[in-house]
Amino acid sequence: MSITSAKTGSTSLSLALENNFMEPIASVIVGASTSNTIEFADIPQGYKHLQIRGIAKTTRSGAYNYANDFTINFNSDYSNNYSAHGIYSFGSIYAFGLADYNTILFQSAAADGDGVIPNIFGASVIDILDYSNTNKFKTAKGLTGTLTTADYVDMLAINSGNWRSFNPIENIQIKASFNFKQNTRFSLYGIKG
Amino acid sequence: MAAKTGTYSLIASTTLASATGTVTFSSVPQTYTDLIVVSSRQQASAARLYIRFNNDATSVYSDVWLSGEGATVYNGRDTSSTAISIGGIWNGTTTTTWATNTTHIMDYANTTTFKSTITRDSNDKAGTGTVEAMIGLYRSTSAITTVNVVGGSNFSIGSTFKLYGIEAAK
Repeated sequence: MSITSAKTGSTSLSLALENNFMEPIASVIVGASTSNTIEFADIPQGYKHLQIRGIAKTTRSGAYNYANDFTINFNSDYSNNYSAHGIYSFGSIYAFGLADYNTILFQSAAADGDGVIPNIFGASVIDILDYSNTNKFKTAKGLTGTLTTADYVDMLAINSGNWRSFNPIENIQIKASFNFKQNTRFSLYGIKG
Repeated sequence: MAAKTGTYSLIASTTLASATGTVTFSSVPQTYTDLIVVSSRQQASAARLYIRFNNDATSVYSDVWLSGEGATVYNGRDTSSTAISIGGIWNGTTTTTWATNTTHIMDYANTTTFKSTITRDSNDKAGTGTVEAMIGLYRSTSAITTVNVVGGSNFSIGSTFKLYGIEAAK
């Protein structure tokens, strides 16, 4: 496949540095030794926005709903400083809106059903806006979902969340009630502004 | 934690000079972590938008979708499908508006996991239309080397399709 530069029109195999408005900061791939917490620490403050991209699965064996999927916190703040809104679809069974978590940014999808459906992982893309701004509360939005084996368990969500703090986001905690399964992957990117 | 090299690289792009039902990106480089397909489309008649991989048209795809159409919300689920539904129905009559779609293909080169997609689609029809989100699954552990974007009816001349690569930090 030829690769054509959107910027110069030239054909090249190394366009990454030409399109460097988005840069990879760090990435975590869960190995054989699993954990229920992933943290991005010492986040550089030189970008405008952050994006988290990833696939996730927990070691939970049954088929459950979203209640134990992964959550996000900033700067290890687990107090009641968060609020959120979301639109959810659980398969074709029902859809609803949800508001006001207090101690987490919002929940995102990690597939469960380990052992029955070992290869299915939930997918998430989460944008964190103006993360280093000291004059704004921090806002994030997410698009997340997972497909499993049961209609009521399949989940798709569009989320927005708010962290009521003027502090710059220096670290991000991603947690699940069960350990993340091997091959779970979270990647953090910086968006230039 | 130091920043690495750039990402969000344009891999391939096409603007249709003639109507066609399928746009294929083949020989996709395996060097990225995720792929993103961005499209702007019109179609010949009322039809949805689909994606499949590696020219695999067997019943190994499933999806869940959430749609806002006017003031009404719909949701649904497709199982054992021959492609992932990633776009709302183009009505085939509006000539001045274009439906837009962004589909993320996660961990496309991973040979251990099934492949997940996540999509936002907007399909304005000059007063009506839809906005949709979808989660999709390709039940294969094969690396994705070919991406097929499939219209339920032909894509119109001028429709654009771009494939980007997202590289994670190593």
